[in-house]
Amino acid sequence: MGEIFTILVVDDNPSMASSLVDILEIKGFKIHTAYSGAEALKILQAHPVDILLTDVRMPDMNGVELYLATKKIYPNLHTILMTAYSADEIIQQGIKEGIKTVLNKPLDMDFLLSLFSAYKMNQQ
Amino acid sequence: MNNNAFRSYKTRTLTRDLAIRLALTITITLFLIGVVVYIFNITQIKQDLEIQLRDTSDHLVSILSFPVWTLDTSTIKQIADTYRHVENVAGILVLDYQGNVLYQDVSPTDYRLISAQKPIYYENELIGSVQISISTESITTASRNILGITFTTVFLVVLVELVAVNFLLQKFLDRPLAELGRGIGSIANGNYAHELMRAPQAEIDQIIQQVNNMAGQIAEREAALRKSEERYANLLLNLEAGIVVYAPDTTIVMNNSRAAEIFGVSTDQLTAKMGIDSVWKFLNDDKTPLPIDEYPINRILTSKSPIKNQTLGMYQPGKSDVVWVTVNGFPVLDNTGGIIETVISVTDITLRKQAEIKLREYSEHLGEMVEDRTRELRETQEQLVRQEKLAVLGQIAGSVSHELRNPLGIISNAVYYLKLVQPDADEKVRHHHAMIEQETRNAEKIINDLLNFTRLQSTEREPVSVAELVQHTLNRFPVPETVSVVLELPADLPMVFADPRQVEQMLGNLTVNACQAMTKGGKLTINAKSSTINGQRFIAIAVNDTGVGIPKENMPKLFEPLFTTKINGIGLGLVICKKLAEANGGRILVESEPDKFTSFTLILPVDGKK
Repeated sequence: MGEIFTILVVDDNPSMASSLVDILEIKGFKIHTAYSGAEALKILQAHPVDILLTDVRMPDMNGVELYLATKKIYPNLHTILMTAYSADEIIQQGIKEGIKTVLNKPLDMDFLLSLFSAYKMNQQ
Repeated sequence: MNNNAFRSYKTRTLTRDLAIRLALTITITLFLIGVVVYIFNITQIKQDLEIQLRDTSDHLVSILSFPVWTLDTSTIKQIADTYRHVENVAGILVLDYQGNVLYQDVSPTDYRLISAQKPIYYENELIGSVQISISTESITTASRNILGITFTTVFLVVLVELVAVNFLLQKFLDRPLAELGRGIGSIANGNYAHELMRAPQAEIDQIIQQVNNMAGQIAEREAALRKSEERYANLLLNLEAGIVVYAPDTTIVMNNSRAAEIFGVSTDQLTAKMGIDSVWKFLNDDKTPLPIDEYPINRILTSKSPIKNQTLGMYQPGKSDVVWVTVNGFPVLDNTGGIIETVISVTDITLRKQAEIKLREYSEHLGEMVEDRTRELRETQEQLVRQEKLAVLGQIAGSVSHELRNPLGIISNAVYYLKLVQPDADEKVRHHHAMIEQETRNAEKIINDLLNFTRLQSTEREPVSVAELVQHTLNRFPVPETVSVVLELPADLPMVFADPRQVEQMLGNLTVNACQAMTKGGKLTINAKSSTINGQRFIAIAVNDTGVGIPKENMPKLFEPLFTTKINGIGLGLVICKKLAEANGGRILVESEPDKFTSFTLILPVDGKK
């Protein structure tokens, strides 16, 4: 493990965001937190991020719109969608646009962590 | 045939009759002619003889006058001899006035003689007499000849007549008559198309024409008769009613097949039976035996008048079902009012009668039926209400479930965090962590069920390994420690063609159900077998538990929405399983025995298209 693996967690629900952040920090990841799409974009401009873990339904900008906004500027950024609405049309659109991973809430944390490990291994 | 019969006892024939009569006529006629000729000839000859006798004696007297006067015997002799030789003169006797014979020459003869004695005068003085005898031989000869000629003529004429009659009659009568006879015989045998050849003889031809005419008329009449008979037979045969004709002693003399059918016997069996035979068991309306006096035939025989629409039941021989009939009938009377025969028609009204009985029963059971229908209606209504409720529930559940996923997500994250930061927490804390974790999972499952029920996800089928599906299921839905798990999954099992998430959900539901049925612990066995049904390969995955089992009365309701026996269940799990199984081209079977076991089998296809 050379560099620290950085994850940007985006969710309009602060409790959800903080619960994820707490776990991931313990697991040794560097975490940024945003509570809206706009905020997330600002953080991305300021910090290098490896993985974007974002909610789908948010007030200003949804998860897929956020992905589309980052897609060209940060081609190496992995985006993972988290959703409470599994059959959402927005998600279908995201998958069409190139999103590889969609996770249902409540999250299977062990599975999420194993995914991160896999990405990390790929990067190295 | 009649020809020969006639010939055999009729020895008289036209030819013979005619020949004999003609022969008799000819014979008599010819004989009469013969007699006339005979009488005429004989008379003539007799007269001639008498004239000859008179003339000869006159001559002789005048010639002998002188010689006798002179007693010149030689001259007398000369003269007498001369006359003696005249034809027919059989004897001459010359006497003198004293009666002395001067000449005598009489030949002895067989024939009768006629004689004349004449006195001889000389100068008016009697000097003697002459007696001349003439033989009647010529008469005898003549009559003999006439007889001979007559007989010969008769014989010849009769012979010729016989031959002629025979020939002519044969030619003009016998042949045409024989021909006529044959023709009539042929017509008599029914060959009415046989037209007799016309004969040239007017009389015979007239007969032939009349015979031909007659044959034509007979043919027409016979055709009409046959047609009428056919119509009659067809009518009898096709009548819906059975027709029976009885003799006065009630013997059945005729019946149609329908009658036999109604009486339940063959036509042969029916004919010659008696109307009051003990084989008939007739019944009143209330199925009590009908008194023999009330039998239709007896009523007609007694009253000598028709009966109308008598309804009665009867048992066909050897059968236990009652056949119901209406009977009409009338007597056929002779001039004196005696019964010649009785005609009875029988109509089968069993169906009508049964309908009447059924109608009566219906009216009796109407109340019950109304109650049944009302109950069914109420149940249907309840079901409708339930479905409506379900639809509303589905809508609410859909949105609520989604909203619940966020808080559940936070709770599950939170407990994950707590477990992470307190690896050394005391047992009670860890137990509480586990409880939160487990119940979060249960809540999630309920939400998933609700969502799946309200809106089935699209099915994305692909070949998947059963063993993997089972393993994932057990990971997602851990089995309590009190339950032991046995897996019987053959290594060579083919992959199933199904949506893996949906299969996991089904297996998860079944597993959770199984565990909940084994509150006091037990054994969970999951096995899989491949089989072929109608040439299609399937895999049967069975989830078996040793739990409380399912009461028999609950079996039909298992797959109904909202049916549940659990305190914290909503009754959607098995409904979803069924829907998902069907969506994946499979089905789900259940087998259970209360207090022993329950076995749910999920059958999924091996082959399929994406």
